[in-house]
Amino acid sequence: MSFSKFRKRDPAPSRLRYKFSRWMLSPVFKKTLLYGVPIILLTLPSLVFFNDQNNKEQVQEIAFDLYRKLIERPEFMIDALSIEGASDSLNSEIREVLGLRFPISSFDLDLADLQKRILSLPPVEIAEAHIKGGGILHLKVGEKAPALLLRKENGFAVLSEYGQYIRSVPSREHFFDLPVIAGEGAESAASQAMNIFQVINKKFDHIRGLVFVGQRRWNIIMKTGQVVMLPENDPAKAVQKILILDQAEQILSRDIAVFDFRLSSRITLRLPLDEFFEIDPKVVGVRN
Amino acid sequence: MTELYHSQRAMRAMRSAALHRGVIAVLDVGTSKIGCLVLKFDGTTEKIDGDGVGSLAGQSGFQVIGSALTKSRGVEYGEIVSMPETERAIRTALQSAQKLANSRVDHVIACISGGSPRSYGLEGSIDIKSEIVDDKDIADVLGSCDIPSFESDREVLHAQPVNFSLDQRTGLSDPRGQIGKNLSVDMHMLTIKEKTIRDLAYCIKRCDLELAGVASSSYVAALSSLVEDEKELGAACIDLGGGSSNISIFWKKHMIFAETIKMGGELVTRDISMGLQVSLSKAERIKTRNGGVLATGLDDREMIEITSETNDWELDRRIISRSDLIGIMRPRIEEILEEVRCSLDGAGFEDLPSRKIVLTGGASQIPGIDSLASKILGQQVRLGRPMRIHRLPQAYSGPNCSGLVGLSLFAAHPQDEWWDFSPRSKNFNGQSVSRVFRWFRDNW
Repeated sequence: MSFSKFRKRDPAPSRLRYKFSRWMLSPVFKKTLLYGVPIILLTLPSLVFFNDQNNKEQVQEIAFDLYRKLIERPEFMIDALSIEGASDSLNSEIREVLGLRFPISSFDLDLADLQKRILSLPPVEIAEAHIKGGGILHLKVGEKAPALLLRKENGFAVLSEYGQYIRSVPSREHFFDLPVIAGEGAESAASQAMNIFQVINKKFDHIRGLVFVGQRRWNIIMKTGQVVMLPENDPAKAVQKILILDQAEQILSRDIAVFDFRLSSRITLRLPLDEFFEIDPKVVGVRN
Repeated sequence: MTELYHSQRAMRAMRSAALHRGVIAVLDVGTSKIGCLVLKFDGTTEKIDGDGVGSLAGQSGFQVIGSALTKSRGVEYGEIVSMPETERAIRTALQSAQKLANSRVDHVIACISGGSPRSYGLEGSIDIKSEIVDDKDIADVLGSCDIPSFESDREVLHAQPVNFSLDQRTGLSDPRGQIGKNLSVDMHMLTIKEKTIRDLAYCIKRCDLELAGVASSSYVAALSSLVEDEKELGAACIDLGGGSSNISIFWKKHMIFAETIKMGGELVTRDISMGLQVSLSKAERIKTRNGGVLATGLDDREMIEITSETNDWELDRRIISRSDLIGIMRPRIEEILEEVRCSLDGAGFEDLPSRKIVLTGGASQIPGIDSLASKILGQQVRLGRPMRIHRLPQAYSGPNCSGLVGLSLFAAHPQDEWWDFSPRSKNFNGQSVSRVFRWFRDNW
């Protein structure tokens, strides 16, 4: 007979239990136990797993596959490119430059980069790229307007009115109505040339073009071989003066080789020389 | 003596550290029960008005956040007789109190009822050098008290300045800042057996706690059950506990006498157990349910069934009247109260202007004990219950918890004691300080 097993347990907590209860009541210990231990238990296996390079690569591969699968869903695919506001030649040029192979995922497209690449083409002035619904990449392009022809050693360069290079052409065939300029550094003074042409405004049709002399001023070359030298400052005003003079006295139609307007207060005319470098006697006696 | 001085000062420092942390436990290790309250100090201090008493008499500024009351083990007559048992009981109480408080407690203030406390009245007197009394003069006059010779196995538990006299004026509670020539002090000193306090300190240390103060349980019971007027005019608080009855006499708001009688409610239980031949737990139950000290005619007809399990019909089925029970209880209670009377007479209680007697403690719940006490102790007897403190559970508001509540008040507002004043150093006067200062200035 033993009643010992029916004996009531000692109600007092054991020393260990007492200490543990006190630890659990101290905030730092409790927080470490409640958050620290689960975090360690969760992170430790994954750290061990990723310590192996093979595992790491495998997981990376799987993750990349999943990513590709996601971005190559039909909702995100782009099938066509539409270009607005470009001529046919520019259109094909843009397509060539972009080199896109459709279908392509919209995640793989960098619109800003596309825009930059299109803008790097000389004829393009403005470009906007956005993705339209239905899988279409839409490009809005503004072309530069050709305004001048710059005569080069072989052929011509088409310039915009600000002197920006657009393209090279071998002859004036397609751009016969554009005024021609020449000379070293002429493209940098293209806007001045445009001004001069505006003033002239086709009032005299026998102009061959403008020559930029010494990278500072313009000469007007007539079809007759006559040369009008314009001043460095405000050549447009000088041209206006010439026009007035021509209206009044038809000076340009006279047999004079060089009209020197470089100094507006002292206009100088040079007579043509004959083959012996002497002044043509036919011209002497002209009222001047 | 100096060792104790340092240990008491260390306990004071610990107490202020605990108050800084905001949580402190009070522990009343009694003979029949161990009570523990966890107090939280929220830093609000009570506004003290003109007469030195706040509107809540020192009970504001803290609240009870955890409490536990458990059966005491290994304690007899207020003294620890079995250390491991007591340690377990303290652990039980503290763990449940901490769980309720949901906060860890590191500092504990305890009270001791055993150890046969002995009161001494001390006197000291000095001449004041500067005319105005300052802290150092107080320390000097406290240090000038001639310590009575007591046995080497005793320790000073309390040493409280009770009364200051400056020249001809007496009855000063705080003479600082006053002008006079001769300052004298009356001090009340309480010593108890060193072993008792060591045992308790060891038990508390075994529970991973720091002892931040000790108090006599006679003192703390009076703190919670006497009202201010009684403390001022003179009153005795008699804490009738389980194993011992603690007596303390208050006058002019200070304790002037304390004693412990090693008789208590457990003796009554033992008498009932022997008289009725029942187990102690059954006797305790009969005592608390049907006990009394004044028999009336009705009590002859009120029958109490006594059951036990001895398999003896005669013993197991007995019926006694309540008068029989009272007949067992009353002589023992009378004996205890006469013993109290004897002790009060020895302390000169009849010389006080007001001779109020307040009965508190678990045994004061016996019906009719107040009228019995008024026959033995004097006319002005009342039953005292502890004051209310914030968030004290209802179960702890009875007279059996007056020691626990008083200990909380003690923890919140301890009285200035001897060791709260640092004595003037003898060999380190102003001159040597200036010499050291000069040496530093010359050499650095």
